[in-house]
Amino acid sequence: MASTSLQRPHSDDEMGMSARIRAFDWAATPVGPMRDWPQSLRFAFDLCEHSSFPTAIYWGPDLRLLYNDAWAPIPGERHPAALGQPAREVWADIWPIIEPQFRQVIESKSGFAGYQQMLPMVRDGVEQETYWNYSFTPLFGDDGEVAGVLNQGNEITSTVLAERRMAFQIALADRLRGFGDPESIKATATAMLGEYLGAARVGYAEIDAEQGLVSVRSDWTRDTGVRSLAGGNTAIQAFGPAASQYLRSGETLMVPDFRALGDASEAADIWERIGSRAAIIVPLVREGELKAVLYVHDEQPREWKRSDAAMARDVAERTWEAVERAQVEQSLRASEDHYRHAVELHPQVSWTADASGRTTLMSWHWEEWTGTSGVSDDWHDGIHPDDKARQEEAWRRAVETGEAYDVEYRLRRRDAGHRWVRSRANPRRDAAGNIMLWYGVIEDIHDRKVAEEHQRLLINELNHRVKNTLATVQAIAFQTLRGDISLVDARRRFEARLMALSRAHNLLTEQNWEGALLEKVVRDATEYLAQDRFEISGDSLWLAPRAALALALALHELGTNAAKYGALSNETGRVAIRWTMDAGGLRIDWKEQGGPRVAEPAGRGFGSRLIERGLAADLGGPARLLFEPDGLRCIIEASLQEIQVREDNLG
Amino acid sequence: MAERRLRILVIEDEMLVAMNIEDMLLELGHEVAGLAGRLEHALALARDSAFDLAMLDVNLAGEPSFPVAQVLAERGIPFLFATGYGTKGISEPYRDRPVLQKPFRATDLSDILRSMTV
Repeated sequence: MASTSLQRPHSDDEMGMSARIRAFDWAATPVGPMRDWPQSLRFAFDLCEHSSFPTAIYWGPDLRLLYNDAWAPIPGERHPAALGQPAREVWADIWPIIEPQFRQVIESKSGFAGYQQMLPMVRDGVEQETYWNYSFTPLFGDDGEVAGVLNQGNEITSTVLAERRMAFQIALADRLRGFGDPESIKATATAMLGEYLGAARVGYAEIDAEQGLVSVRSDWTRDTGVRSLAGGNTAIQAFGPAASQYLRSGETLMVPDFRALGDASEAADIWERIGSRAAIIVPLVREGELKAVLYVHDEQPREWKRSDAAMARDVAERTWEAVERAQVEQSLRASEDHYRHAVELHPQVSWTADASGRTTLMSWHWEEWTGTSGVSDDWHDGIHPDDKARQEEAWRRAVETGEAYDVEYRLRRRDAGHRWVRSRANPRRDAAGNIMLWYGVIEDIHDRKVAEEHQRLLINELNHRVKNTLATVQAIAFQTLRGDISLVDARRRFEARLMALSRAHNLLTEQNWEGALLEKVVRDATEYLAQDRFEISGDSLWLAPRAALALALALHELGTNAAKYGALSNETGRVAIRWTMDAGGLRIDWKEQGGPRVAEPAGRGFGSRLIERGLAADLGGPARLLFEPDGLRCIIEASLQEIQVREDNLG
Repeated sequence: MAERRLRILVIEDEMLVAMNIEDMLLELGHEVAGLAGRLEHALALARDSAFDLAMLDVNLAGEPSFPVAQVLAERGIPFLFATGYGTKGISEPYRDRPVLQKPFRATDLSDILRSMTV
């Protein structure tokens, strides 16, 4: 480095080049004693001696070297022995490059200039890339031929390397920017650094401080001949207590040769096993904790430059940052994805609104349901006109007071139907208590509402039926207790009528109150009488509940009457119950025979009235009692439309 | 009975209940002008027969009796509802009409009739 060389103070015992040149025995060389030097050499020497720019002269057939103080650092450890030596010997390492340049100058008798010339010089026993700007200028002897070459120049290695580093860093930054996942970032950074440094292996290891483990997910290797450390987990202790202590310090470690460390501990074996002789190790310590290590390995001993270590550190830091960022982004994405799924996959509408009450966000369900966006004023268009005022008032109150919003209303669906929803929202406040945003959810409660309504109807209907049944019981009691009747008789009749009503209820309950078979009603109503004296026949017909109840009560009255006064009052009488159907009606014929002779009674009791008046109303047709002398006949006519339940309507 | 003898139309689909109402009315000194348990029949009687007052069951074999109420309102004939549903089962615009909740006593019927004809 020429510029620093100029500033470097000479030590007292260091001899200046002027003195050395004058003291040198030039007579022993083809250059000859100084006093005999030709004019051009004297002139060139004068210039060289007084220039503060690195200047050298190569003179004579074998280009003997003389140079000034500024030039002295250029040959490194070859100085001062290089003085007076042939160029070929001094520059054996770079001779293949500079020899043609010398020859060109001598043959053409014109100057040569090289810029950013790479010269692979051996310095400190190691061949290094060095970069130079320099010129060769011909010096002429008295015979007019080129007798020597004036060399002026300076080293620009550090500039070139700095530019290269910068280019690398820019390229690295560009590449890392494109990646979203941590593994791609590590792979790219380690590969770029490996290629830049010409290393054998570069990797990024993560440290699990709790478990004390170093783990490598993947690493870069120069070629397949270099073993990858990917997938490995190594205990930090395996590297020895000194190494783990050192790693925790966070400082970059450069090891030119592990064997040269003379470390006899078992830790040394690790490096042998993985085929590493030299390494740069960059520990990344965050908040006092060792988080990761970037390593650069070479299978040959290597004199690392400080710039190599700086580069490795730079890559390690950038990789860490990029990996951290990617991990944060990844978890953010995962969180967003989680949120989106939580929100979108639920059969609910999630929404937000600002402090003024305007909706700012509405999940897609709203549009799916209503066909409107739901954002801003669009919101209210999706609400049933009858519920709009109530909903708007509830929302206005919530926005004004900041109290939770909770309202049920019907949502107008895009298919023109309506569904009940429950809309709720709570405000999120900032530190000062001001509302930042409302978070709301709209939930479809239609099925619940319908079920509630259905239940309400059922309870109403049940109440109605109970009240009607009580009214019927009241009527039975009232009718039973009319006239001149003993309490014992009245109780017996009342109970019998209640039981008839109850049996009919049972029949209907069996069929879920949808209907009852006529034949079952008939058999059920006569069951408590002498069954073997009945003849029952007729087609199958389902009766509506009302008709079934009415008929059951009427048959009960007929049966009771037959047992008391009619065909069943002796041992031989019989009752035939037959029914027939035609297009419009049903005709039931109750005919008693074999009982006592029948005469028309003077008055009408409850049974007669029930049959003649009541049945007509309930069955939609006349019912007549015929007091035929051989036995009572009852002809009940009914409108099928009134009494029938179609079988396909039965549950 | 000191009360005026009323001709009353009874619209009731339960035959036993209808008979009972009939008996109650007779005992109270009124006259049953007609009895119907089906909407169509009830409508015909409401439109065409002569009577002073009507008692309406709300549910006639599954059909609401409000069309009958409408006819009566149009004719300006007073009417009351007798129903197991109670007042909640009466829809607008008949909410202010008198209602007898089933089952009811003869005296309840008497009171309500008196209140309607004073």
